[in-house]
Amino acid sequence: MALLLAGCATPQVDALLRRRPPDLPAAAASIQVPYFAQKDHQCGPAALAMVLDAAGDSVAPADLVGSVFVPAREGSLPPEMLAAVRRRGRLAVELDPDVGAVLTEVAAGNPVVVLQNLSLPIVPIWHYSVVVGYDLSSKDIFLQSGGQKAASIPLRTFERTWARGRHWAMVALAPGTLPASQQPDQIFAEAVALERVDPVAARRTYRAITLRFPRYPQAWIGLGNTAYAQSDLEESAIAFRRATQLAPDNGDAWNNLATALAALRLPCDALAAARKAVSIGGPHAAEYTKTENEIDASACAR
Amino acid sequence: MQVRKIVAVASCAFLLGTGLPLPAHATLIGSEQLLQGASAARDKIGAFLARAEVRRALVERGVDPTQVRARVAALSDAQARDLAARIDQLPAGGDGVGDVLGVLLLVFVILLITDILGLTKVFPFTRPIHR
Repeated sequence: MALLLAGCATPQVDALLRRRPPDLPAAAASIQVPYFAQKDHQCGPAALAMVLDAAGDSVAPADLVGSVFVPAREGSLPPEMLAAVRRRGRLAVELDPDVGAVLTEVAAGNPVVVLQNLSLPIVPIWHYSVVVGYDLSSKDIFLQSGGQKAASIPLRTFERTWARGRHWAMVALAPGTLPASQQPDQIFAEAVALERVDPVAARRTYRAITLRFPRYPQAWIGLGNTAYAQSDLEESAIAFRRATQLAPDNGDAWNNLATALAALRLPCDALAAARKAVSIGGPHAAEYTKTENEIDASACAR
Repeated sequence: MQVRKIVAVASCAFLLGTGLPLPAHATLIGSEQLLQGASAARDKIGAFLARAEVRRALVERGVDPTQVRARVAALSDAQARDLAARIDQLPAGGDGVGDVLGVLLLVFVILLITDILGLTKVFPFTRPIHR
């Protein structure tokens, strides 16, 4: 009995309805996303196509099947949903397991992919839906998925099915757009994952992080790295310099600044930065020494 | 000469595909390394092995072998390790809202059978076969 009741509790929605966070609107009108009917077990590709369209990428669900579907599992796995978004040059961000984060994104106009277990744990029916709106006064949330056009269900019912889906949620964002709900560390980690497959899109994301969180040094290093890789040495050096100002004890920032300055043919400035990195040390100390040794410092006073 | 070129291009493509970080410049600390912290070298090897494991596991589970390399390359290191560790425990979203009917039908049939066997008496129209 206790077990049954545990499955019925809706602590997140209860807390939200009792006390709405001041920056969360009471309702968000339905975001327009195209509807795609799903073929067998293809709710993953259908949900992906809906949120990608909202991020400015028109792609048919059938063209996403090869990126996410696992035949033997008759479905799509959450990590691969994120990976598929990156392969389309969009920023994928997994949200905190919190209904407030989901609604914050929806209020900001970002449709959210959620994983629900529509059934009970003993006979799970795993299903991806897209949250497109909500209304706290009527206690409803608006979902659309490969099986159903936008329709409302009670928020508490949603929390139960979502909790059984382990509170998994993600957004897909056009490059340069950031999620409304996450901390800089989380957004930065997702930008790094995007850099693996699309450095140009990642550079725009890093730049957007530096605009929203100008005192967050890692984003400046990411911006410098992607600018450097795209042969924009000047932006790269400016970004690394900013990182060293924000985090004077960050050896990585000094090392990368040294590399960018050396490439700009400023060997004496580069040498000073490299020596700074070496003096800080840390897990990448060997690389710092290598940087220092590679700089042609014959013209500089020692 | 031609052969050597082909080998060079192929090995280059191999390295790119495996997600082994190619040094863009020998002495730039890459963005991914910023996330790794103190155990950088061990993390890198772990993620590299995890990616190989995930590629193998996906092919085993019916994914087109020509697709797996690009799929796995788009995972973050942490996700590659997660997927390698619990590919069969992670939920696979696939079923539609319509499939609920399937479950209901199954429950209905089970109860119908248990009714007929006389184990339950859910439906008014059933008659148990044993008295």
